[in-house]
Amino acid sequence: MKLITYAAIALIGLTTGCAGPRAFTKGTYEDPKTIALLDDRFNENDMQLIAKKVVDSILKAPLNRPEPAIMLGKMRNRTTEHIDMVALSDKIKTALIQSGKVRFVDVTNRKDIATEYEYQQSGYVDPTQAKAPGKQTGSDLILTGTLSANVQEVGKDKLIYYKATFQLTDLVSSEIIWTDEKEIRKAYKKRSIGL
Amino acid sequence: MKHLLFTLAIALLLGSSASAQTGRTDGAEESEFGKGGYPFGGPSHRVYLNTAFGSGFFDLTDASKTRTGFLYGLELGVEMDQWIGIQAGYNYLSDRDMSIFSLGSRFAYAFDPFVYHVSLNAGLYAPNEGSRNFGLAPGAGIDIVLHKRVRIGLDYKHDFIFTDNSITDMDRIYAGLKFFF
Repeated sequence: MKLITYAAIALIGLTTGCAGPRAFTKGTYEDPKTIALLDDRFNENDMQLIAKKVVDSILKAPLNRPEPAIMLGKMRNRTTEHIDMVALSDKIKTALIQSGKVRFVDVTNRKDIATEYEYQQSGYVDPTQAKAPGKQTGSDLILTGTLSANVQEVGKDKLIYYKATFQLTDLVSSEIIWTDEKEIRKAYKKRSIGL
Repeated sequence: MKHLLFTLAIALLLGSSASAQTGRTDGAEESEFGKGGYPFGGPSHRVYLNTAFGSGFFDLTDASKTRTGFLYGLELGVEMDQWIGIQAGYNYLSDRDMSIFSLGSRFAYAFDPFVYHVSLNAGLYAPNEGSRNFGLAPGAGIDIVLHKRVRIGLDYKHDFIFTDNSITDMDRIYAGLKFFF
């Protein structure tokens, strides 16, 4: 009888003893649009939901001109978290450009474009192929946005609220011709991790 | 026995219908409401069914011998969380012609691909002939995760059976497949 007990203890001991330190070695590719809430921070699912709402709303809005040229303005992160607002605005920009209903002017690379003009006009480049300033598209609208958050936490329960507000401003009249917001509220319950 | 099978069937139906949905962000507006996801924690409140095939080792009171008997049975449990669950079981020990009805709790620790667990069950030990007795059965075991819904495991339980005049010990070792719903 004791033999059986010792055998059971030895079996558990042996498998536990093989454990050693842990490392992230076993991975799988996952569908990025599947909701995964591992912790209580802003994640890619929040970004996808905000971008989807903004893109759908802009494409449905009457912008009063065919294929307006939009420039990306300031994207403000007013939360206490570090949130990549460039990734969020890039996601919105990509979906809008792919829709074919709006155009975007490149604000981010203006310095590089200006430097390239100077180089191409310097005589090194074939004059028939050299690009020059003066023919860039003037933007019609500027897209700006703000992300704010509110956190409520009592005991084991936590509610996180995000509000993303975006707007398109007409560069001639400075009128806000479109605005919309996406509200996200996530509920968490604290639980112990590990042993 | 019929009551036990009926209870198992009802629990399985309830368990399968209560499985959690994984949410997505590319659905219609507000389709994400109520959806969540923790791919590593596993869903909570899962019902499992464990089949048991093994041996029972028991001491004879009139001789200092250990006898073995074929053991088979079923365990039905509910995992409230990954680490804790309650379970009810039925085992039959052929050589002793005895049914064992048990109810208890189970504590588990997952270390992929193994799941270690310890349990404590209270049991009713009912031989076909003779009196029924109450007993306690602490146990331990290890499962190997084959699939998110299937595990193969080895269990050990030590039974302290309280009879009128003495305490009879019994050991159970059994292997089984565990199905999660």
